[in-house]
Amino acid sequence: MSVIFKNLWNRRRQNVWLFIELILVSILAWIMVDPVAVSIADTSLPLGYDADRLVYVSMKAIPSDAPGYDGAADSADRKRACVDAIMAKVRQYPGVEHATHTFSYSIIGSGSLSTNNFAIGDPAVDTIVKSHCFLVYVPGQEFFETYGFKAAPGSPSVSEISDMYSADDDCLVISRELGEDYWPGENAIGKRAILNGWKLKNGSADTVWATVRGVVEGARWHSFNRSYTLQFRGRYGKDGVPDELDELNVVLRLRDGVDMNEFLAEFRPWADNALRIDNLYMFSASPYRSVIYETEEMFGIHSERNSKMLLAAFFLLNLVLGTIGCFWLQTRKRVKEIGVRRAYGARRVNIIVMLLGESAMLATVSVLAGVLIYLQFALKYHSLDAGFSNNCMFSLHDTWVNHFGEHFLIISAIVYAIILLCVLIGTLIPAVSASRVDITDALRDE
Amino acid sequence: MSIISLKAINKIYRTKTIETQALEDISLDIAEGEFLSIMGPSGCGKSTLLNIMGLLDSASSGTVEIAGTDVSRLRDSQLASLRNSTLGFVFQSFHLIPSLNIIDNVMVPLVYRSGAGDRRTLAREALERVGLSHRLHHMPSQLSGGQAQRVAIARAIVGNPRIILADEPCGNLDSHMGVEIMSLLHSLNRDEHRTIVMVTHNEEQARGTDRIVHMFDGRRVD
Repeated sequence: MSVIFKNLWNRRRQNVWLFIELILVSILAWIMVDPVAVSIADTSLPLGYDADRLVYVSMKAIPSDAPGYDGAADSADRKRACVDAIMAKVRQYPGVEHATHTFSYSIIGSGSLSTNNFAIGDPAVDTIVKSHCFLVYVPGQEFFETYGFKAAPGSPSVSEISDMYSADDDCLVISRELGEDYWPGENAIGKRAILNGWKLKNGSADTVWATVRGVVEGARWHSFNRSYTLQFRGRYGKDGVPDELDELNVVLRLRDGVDMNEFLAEFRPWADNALRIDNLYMFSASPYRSVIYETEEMFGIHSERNSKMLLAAFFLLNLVLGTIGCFWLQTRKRVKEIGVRRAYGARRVNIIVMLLGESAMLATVSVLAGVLIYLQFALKYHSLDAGFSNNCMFSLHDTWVNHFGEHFLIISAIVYAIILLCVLIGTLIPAVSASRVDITDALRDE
Repeated sequence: MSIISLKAINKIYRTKTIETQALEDISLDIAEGEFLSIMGPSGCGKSTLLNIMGLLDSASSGTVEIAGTDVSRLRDSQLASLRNSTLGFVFQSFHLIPSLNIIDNVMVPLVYRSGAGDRRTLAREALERVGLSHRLHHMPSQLSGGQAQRVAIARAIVGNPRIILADEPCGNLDSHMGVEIMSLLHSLNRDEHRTIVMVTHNEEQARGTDRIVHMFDGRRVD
């Protein structure tokens, strides 16, 4: 070790440039690696529901000016009866465990997502206002059982949550993480929250209250560049149906062990006939995963993720080639020194260990300096380049991404590993090659 | 008892198109404590022979024994160990490591030796013996040619080797410095009983040694 330290110190004039370069590379690597690592970490988070067992059935309504349209079926009673008939048929279909009807703007993973400004506290004194994504569900329609959500400890069961409805205020179902964020250490059931928080704060609207009726384990919306924690609001009455029937869609949960492809192969021709009731007909039936995929495609999530990956890969390729090249040249310049050391008794392994040790030490000090410089930036702006944020729109999942310290250490460790690997490769190959040069040739090297 | 024994040494350099015989049937025994000069015109194989004695190069055929050890079957690491313990080198162009200061250069052989004691003290003592104890922390670029060669000699003797191999040690020095270096080598041979093999073009320097071996076109001609 003393030889390594001594060589580094004695070669400080040559090493200072490598040191500066590696500091810059560390900072850039941080900026490039972070979004990719956060994206991968978010994608790998559990959804909180069983997407693999879900089938999305899209329903359409015959336009009023189209042939086959039944004007008599356009009453509220007939619409309600039509929805009930459809739900009854799909629930009785072999292989279906649960079914819920929902709306195209309000399925998890769909193309649309609403946010509200959720607030708690006394509006006259102080409130905490944060933005959240929420989805609307229809009470009494097996919504939570169909998706396979799990009730959090202290919460009513998912079937009870699905059936709850209060005509007086919005019925709010939140995730466990959200409850812990707002009411740490307390059971969130029965807590009151203000749904129009920002308007309230601006003094421009009346307070709209909601009561937490249920708490489920983390449900995740992952169709943006970050995953969001969700809350659910039971908006329609138990018997309510929307005015626009073409927004009605059905989500089916298959029984355990039912093969998705086989199910769909039999379900589609059946549904073409059986689900044609009044002005409604089945438009498509597809695995829920494909809905998520299509949504991500529509939002450009895949292309954004691929762009990040490509950018990072391009950067890393340049980093690898640049770093390897620099260290290669530095090592190659020391062939004569290697010859002298070998003449005086150094074994090949001594030479390789010495050169690798010097490079590793230089990389370690440089990366340490680089990430500490970057840390100053992160602390100043109270955020890391990607991932960390105080905004509750983002995931409240208890993962490293949302903990500043862990996040910083993990990305720094990845950056260190990448740079160390590059430096070691850049040193190892020429070091092995130089250690194999005949001593007499090495001593003649200029 | 020979400390260096060469028997029927041949060295052939081969390329795809040409084969050059650098050494041809060289046999030589050098006694412990002897100061031997090797002389001959440029390209006659003097340095090649010295490199083979120093285990820096290998013979194409023949037997090399150093301090009673037949080196032909030694592995690379064993050769390195033998070089470290038994041999010291003085090169014409000094071959000091430019990024190390004087004392660190002298310590190089001790780095690769376990149980070498206090390396810094040994290096300082070696530099005292060559009269450079006041330049411990100078860099090689700050030294004159004669001083650099004295540092190289200090490096050669710091590990207390039995054999010193000097390849034209005065070749890059003016005559005054050359005399100084030769005087130093003679004192190492005389006072410390070290075996010295020196390649030189200088007849006057060679005449001061115990024995001269003449070479021509890869063969001994004496």
